[in-house]
Amino acid sequence: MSALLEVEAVTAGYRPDLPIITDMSVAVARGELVTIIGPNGAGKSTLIKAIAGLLKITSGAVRLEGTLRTNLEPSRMADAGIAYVPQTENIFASLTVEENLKVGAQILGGRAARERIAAAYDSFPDLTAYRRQKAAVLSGGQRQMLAVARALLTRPHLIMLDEPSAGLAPKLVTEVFQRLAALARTGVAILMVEQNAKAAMAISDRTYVLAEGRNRLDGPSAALIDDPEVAAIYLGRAGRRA
Amino acid sequence: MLGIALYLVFFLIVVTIYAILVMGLNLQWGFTGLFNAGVVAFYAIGAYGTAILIGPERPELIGGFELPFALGLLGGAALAALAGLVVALATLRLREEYLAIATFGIAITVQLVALNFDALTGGANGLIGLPRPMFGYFETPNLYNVCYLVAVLAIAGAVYALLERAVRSPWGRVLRAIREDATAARSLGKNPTAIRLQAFILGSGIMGLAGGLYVGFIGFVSPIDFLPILTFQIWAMLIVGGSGNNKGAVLGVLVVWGLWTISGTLISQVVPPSLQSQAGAGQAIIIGLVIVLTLLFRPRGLIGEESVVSKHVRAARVARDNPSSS
Amino acid sequence: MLQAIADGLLTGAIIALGAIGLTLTMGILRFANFAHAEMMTWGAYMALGVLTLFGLPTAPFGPLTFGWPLLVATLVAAGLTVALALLIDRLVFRPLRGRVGHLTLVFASFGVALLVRNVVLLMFGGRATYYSNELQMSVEVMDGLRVMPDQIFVFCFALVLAGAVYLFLQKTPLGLAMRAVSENPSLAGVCGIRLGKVVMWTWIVGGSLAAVAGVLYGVTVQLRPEIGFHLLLPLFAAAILGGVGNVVGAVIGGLLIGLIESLSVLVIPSGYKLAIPFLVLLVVLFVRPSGLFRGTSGGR
Ligand SMILES: Nc1ncnc2c1ncn2[C@@H]1O[C@H](COP(=O)(O)OP(=O)(O)O)[C@@H](O)[C@H]1O
Ligand SMILES: [Mg+2]
Repeated sequence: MSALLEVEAVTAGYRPDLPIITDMSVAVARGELVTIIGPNGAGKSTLIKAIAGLLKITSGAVRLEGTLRTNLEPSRMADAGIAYVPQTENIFASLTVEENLKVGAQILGGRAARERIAAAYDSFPDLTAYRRQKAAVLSGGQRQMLAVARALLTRPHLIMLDEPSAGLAPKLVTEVFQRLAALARTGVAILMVEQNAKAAMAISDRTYVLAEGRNRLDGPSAALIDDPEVAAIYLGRAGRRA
Repeated sequence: MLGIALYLVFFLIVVTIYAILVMGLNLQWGFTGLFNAGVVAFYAIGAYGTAILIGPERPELIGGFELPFALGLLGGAALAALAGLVVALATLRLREEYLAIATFGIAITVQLVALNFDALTGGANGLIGLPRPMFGYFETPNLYNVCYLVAVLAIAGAVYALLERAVRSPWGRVLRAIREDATAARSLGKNPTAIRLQAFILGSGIMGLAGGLYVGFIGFVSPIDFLPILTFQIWAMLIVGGSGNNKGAVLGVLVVWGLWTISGTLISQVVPPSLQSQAGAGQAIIIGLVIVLTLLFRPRGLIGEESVVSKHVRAARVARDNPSSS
Repeated sequence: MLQAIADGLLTGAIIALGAIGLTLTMGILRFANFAHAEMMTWGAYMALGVLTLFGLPTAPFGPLTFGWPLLVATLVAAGLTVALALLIDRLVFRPLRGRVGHLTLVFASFGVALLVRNVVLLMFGGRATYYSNELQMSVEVMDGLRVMPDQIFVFCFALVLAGAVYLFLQKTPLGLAMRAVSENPSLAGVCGIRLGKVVMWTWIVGGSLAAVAGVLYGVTVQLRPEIGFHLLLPLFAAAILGGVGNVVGAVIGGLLIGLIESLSVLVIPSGYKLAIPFLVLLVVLFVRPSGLFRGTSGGR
């Protein structure tokens, strides 16, 4: 089986002499919803940033649809069909909501951009009222929506989300997860990092558990959800250091 | 022969004074990562400060306190440190480059004061006829210069030893930790701003000391000796030798000042007087090239600094990665 | 008093043009470029070079001291300044970007500033010169207020240009991309914006504005190799006062700095005029370091 995204034994970090993640491997197939969990500081965000092209990968490979895409510039990764919603600062607060969407759609150009932006307002009607206002005024939930709406504009093959439910009210969390599951059913590959482990595993196909910059466990979410070892990775670590 | 020996003494005194300046800058940039774009200002403040404190009383001038040289030297250094305190207080909490901009500003301001505040600085003529320390005890000026060289060397050695001790002390280790990772250092309960402030002030004071020593050597001060190019020269000396390394700093002084002196001599012999300002430009271009090319091709300088992530940073990273509360 | 205000606004408009480019580089390229003001010197002298090299006539237009030749020379100078900016970026800043701390980039620009200033000095010598020897009569606009036609032209031209840059940033896709990078370069890259292209356009806009500002300074004051060295502090002060990355802020900051500098002469000896921007800067940094207006996050 050749997955849409294959990450093979990737080592990366913020400085060349200080790798944060070591030999990490992850794969996501078309239409698959994959969750990454792990304790704080495990390197989850770092992994996603490395895939998105924001960090230098010192060894290993990133393949998209079988093509090698290691250490491409972030904008080239976007061209290749990867969308990424960062954990924080995932919208441009100084730009209006409309401008945020325009930035997301600028690869498309002209007419296509306008149509997709109109469609985005249809899918996220809450944003319509804020069109001409600075994104800084949006609430946490609205910001998350804008970030996701922006990421979807280009109809990516793979969308990576870093803690999409962080800071959202429980009702919104459910809505976000349901939307993501629905999106996966349309054939988009989804890779998301979650703190909300149980809820995320409940809707995802497979789960990777990371700790201390390495792969620890992976498998079908249904099998891992009650695995005592998953809990041990969280607790064991916390217990050891406390 | 004697001429050459005397010139060598002169050359070495200047080199030693510049070495002290470079060590001050090294403390700020090499060890703390603070960009000082106005080195010449602190040097000038030290020089004028000393001159005003030791100078003879003159009716048309403010100052002229006729203090002993040692006190004047300390006073000049203290004034330079005070100037460092003012710019650092304004900028250290902010974006890093604001300190660079502010120090550039203080250099311009000091130059203007030196040129325009006649009553204090003597304006364009400067302050002349300053007493040279213990000059009367020597039979010839040449002997005096040799002894002054020894004295300046001793002071430079003392500054060197002091700095080496300081950067190896716990304080110095924190300094490096902050330079490498301010957030990590903060999480260990160190206050980066306070420690940076201390390093910047100490560095400024050392630069002021160098200024005072220069006054003691030539016996006058004038704006000519404090042109903006000096800041660039000192920087070139620092990075050629390798910032973060005091031995390298001294080597850099020899290389750059040698280059400057030789190119100056060559130019003055080859270039007609009518083109002197262009000739000066040529020399400045050499300094600029030294800076830019070193940064590009030999960023660690001739000697360089060991690249180690200090224990403090590692400890802080581990602590941050494993919040004990969870 | 009135005269001082008028003079201040004029210098302020020129400072504003330079500060726009500086604030864009500080916001988008994220470092304080000490060489920016030297691009004004370079631009001003390139225009002089074009005029003398091709022996262009002064051809004064109406009451002005200059005409189409200077406009042509300014265009060429802007091109040469952009070329210089791109060359420096290619040879110095790009190899360093990402490899070293951003303060090292500031340091590199400090060295580059010295180089540019002295290359100009080497090429043109140190004496002050003018674009034209035409004498101009000042016009009495009001009681106690005399201005030269040149000054009125320069002031209006600078403001129109500043307005054009504002519209460019607000209304064009490229301007939007520049604003996005200015707030968050990583996110902009992730959205598919080519950082290299935005960096290039930042130099193009900043370089041409610097060249024009340099020429305007040469027209109203005089040409000296130290133009940039003396304007650097006013530019930084204007950019920081207006909020780093904020173009409108830079214009208002520039006008304010010009005004304060000019009015200060009424109270303190004119020999200290050059230090005024520094004092303003210190006050701003102590009282309101984020500037009067909201900057982009590049300004933090
Ligand atoms: N911008 C950064 N620069 C340097 N180190 C970082 C940066 N961001 C995160 N780190 C370090 O990388 C490690 C992993 O962080 P991250 O990937 O954000 O963890 P997670 O998302 O799993 O909580 C942590 O030790 C953190 O200190
Ligand atoms: Mg994270």
